[in-house]
Amino acid sequence: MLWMLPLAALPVVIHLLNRMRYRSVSWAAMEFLFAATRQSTRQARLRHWLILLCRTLAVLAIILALARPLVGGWLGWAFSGAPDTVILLLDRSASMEQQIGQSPTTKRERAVKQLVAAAEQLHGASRLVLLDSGTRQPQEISSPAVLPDVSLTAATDAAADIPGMLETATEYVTANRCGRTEFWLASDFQASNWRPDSPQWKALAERMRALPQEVRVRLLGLTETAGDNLGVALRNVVRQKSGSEDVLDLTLEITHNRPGKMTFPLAVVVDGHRSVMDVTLMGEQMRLQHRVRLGDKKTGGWGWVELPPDSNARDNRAYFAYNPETHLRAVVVCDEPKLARLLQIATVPAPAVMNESADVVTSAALATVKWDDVALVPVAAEVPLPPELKSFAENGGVVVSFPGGKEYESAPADAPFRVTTWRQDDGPLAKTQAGLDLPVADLRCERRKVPTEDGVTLASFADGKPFLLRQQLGKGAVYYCATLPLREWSNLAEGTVLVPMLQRLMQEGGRRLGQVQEVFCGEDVATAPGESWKRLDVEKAGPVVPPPLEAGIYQAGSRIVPVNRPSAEDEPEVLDEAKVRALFGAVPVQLFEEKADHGGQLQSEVWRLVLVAALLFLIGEGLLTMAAARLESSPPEQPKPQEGAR
Amino acid sequence: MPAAPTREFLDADVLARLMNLPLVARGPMEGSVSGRHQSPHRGSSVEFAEYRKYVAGDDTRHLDWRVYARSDRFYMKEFEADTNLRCYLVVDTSASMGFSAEHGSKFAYARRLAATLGYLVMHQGDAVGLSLCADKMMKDIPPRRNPAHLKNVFDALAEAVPAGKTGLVAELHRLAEKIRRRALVLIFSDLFTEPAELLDCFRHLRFRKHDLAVFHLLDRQEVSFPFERPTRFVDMESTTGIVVEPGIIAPRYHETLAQYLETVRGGCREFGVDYRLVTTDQSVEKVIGDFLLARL
Repeated sequence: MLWMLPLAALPVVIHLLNRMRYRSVSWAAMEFLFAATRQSTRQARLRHWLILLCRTLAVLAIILALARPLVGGWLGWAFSGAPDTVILLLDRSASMEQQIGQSPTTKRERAVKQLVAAAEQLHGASRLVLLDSGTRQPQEISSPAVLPDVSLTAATDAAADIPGMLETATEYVTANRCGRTEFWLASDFQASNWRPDSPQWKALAERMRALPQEVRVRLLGLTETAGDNLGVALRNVVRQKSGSEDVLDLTLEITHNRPGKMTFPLAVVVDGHRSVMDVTLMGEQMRLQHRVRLGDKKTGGWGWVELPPDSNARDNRAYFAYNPETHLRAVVVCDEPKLARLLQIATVPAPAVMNESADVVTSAALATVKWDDVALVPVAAEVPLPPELKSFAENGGVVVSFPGGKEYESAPADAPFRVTTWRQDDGPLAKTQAGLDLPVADLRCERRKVPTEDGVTLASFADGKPFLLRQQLGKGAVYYCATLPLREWSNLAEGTVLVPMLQRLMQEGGRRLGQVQEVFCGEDVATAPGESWKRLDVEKAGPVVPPPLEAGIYQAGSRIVPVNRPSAEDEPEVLDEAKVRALFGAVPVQLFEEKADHGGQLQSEVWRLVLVAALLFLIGEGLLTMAAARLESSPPEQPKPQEGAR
Repeated sequence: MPAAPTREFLDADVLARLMNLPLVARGPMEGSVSGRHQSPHRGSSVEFAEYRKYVAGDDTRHLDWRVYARSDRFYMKEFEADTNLRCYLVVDTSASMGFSAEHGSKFAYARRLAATLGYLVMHQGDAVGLSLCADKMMKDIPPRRNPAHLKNVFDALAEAVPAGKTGLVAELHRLAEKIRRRALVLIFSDLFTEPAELLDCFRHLRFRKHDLAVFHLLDRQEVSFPFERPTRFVDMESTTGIVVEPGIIAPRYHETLAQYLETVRGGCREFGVDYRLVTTDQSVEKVIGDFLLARL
């Protein structure tokens, strides 16, 4: 019906035609006309222009009403009729479970409600396709009424890949040869989900723009500030010996979205035993070390830590599992006996009490090593690594590569290379359980061989060159260290940094040997053929199709899999409107930020409002016309017959 | 041989019905013969006026001998004098008088009024003259009592065509200077001229002791201004034109017209002018009847 829009100019055209098609009248009382024209008030002219404006707006509103605008609110611009296909993209990430204001409704529930209300306005004229962030599988739906009930709109603890969802939606449009298509995307604009720095956006926007179909994007931003919320995440779980008994050391990270001091109960559930302690949080974030005594227990187990209920129930639990008591073995690969001995001692400093061992092999004997029970391989050799070690790493092992010793860079006299920057929150150089820094800053390197491999720098020298670098390789990792624990090279042999570093890497490599496999929600997870998944922390839980979208403790075959929400979901950064718009480039985008609680009445039938507006314009036009007519039809002088003055 | 001028502006029925109503001057008139109108001079009518003392030279025929017998003094008994009326019909023949809507032109209406009144005046034995005025005087017929003179007046009215700008102000001043004896001046015009100048004319005529009656003729359209669509109005007395939106200017037009009418009416009241606002949709008979009755 929008082709009728030019009709809105009809009153103006008629007015102009009237002015052009004036008739000529011979007139005697010209002096009065001239005087009246000169003195004609601005109000009279303004009134007539207002009448014209009212008529134009009334016609415009009537046309718009006839066009039956589809929906109101953030979709209220849809005056062009129902599109061929509407793809509903729903962000089901954990952050969408944040309650809106004081309402018990979560952002996801609100989004679903609004999408349903909006889709119902289509009256079945468009094909509806649901694409949720959890499965990222386009699913055609018969009616919007079923949306709140289908599992595809249920809550998840996973992250959302917004550009990936849009990519999938675009592929769907291409593959199914849809006609005019609209993407209705509801999200909380969490930056970690939108990944605005990803180069994927530019290609995506160009691809959407280049589609032969007309594609529009409508965004519902549920960006209202969250209520008071605490979140907990497990950063590390280590089972180790403490004296004669086993202990489980949990490293927790607790975040609060409000600054200030707060005391709250923290429940720790291990193997079904629940204990509660009061925790006082100062500021917005704290790292908490909690030790659980396992006594003489030799088997593995699982549990979770839990915060009291608040405005987001999804970040109140963090699940963990621990392995049975396992013997960890390291294999030191080094051709230099002295260096090999040093590395062996640093890897297992107390073999008598640690249930760990370290063997030394030369590089020539690598082929004879059985890797099945090996957790860590410290190697001092020239790169590239031998294929056996690469294969070991790809299968989940951890390799620590030290320089071969032949090539190096010497530091100037009395100015050794110093490590000034390193990651203290995670990784092998992180703070101790007591919160103390490793004395990395005390390292003095006379020689170094800077690793040039691709990877993430965990520690770097003052000149910015990496000291420790992590390269992900398959399921495992290779760590490259820039110096050797030899006196000519550095004071790394003092052990204050080297020993904890190798111990932690031994624990990391040992995870592949146990039954525990930590997984994040929505993360691709290797599954053996015929392996069934079942949730353990919930009674009467049915089978689960991996990857799991809800956090919990799962059993996959013989493995125990603690599944947690991705740490990215705890990041508070939210994109603003300008940034979101910029991501779509030239693609038409309509954005509505839902910041207030409208009680689910965001959608309204706009055409009714437009009709009311038309009525108001017509009433206004009528009032103005009547006022003008009253003035025109009541001349002040109505001469009476034979009126005389004598 | 030119065709004989028509007399369609005369309605025999109207004349017959109005025949018995005299046109009476509101003040003393100065005529040349005896008539029915009061004269400023003492005369020999039956209407007693006053007594005054006898002075040498007075006609002894007018001595009141009864008063002399009672008081032994000579008093003169004076009577009102009656004379005839000299009526000037001043008809505006400017182009604006040619404005015609549903009920004919203002000039046609003025012609019917003037002709009817002229006939009545002549019928009661008074003299009738005619002035047709535009920016240039078109016709000036001095008043005569001769009934044959009426033909000249009617011919002039029949032949007149409204044209040119109005010359009413100049003509009235000229008449005020020209007419030496008190007379009745009847003006038929739309008075589309400067009110101050117009009222100055009236004052001039009244100063010369003339009885003055004004028939202010307007068309109903000129009063109500019933236009709705944009219209180009062309001045009938010049080539000037103006396109206006009637809806916008109508209120102001009415205001301006009302102010003008009030000015003219007030001036006439001030100078003792018999002012009559007449629209051309009114009955001529009623207009004249009311006029005559009001003067009795």
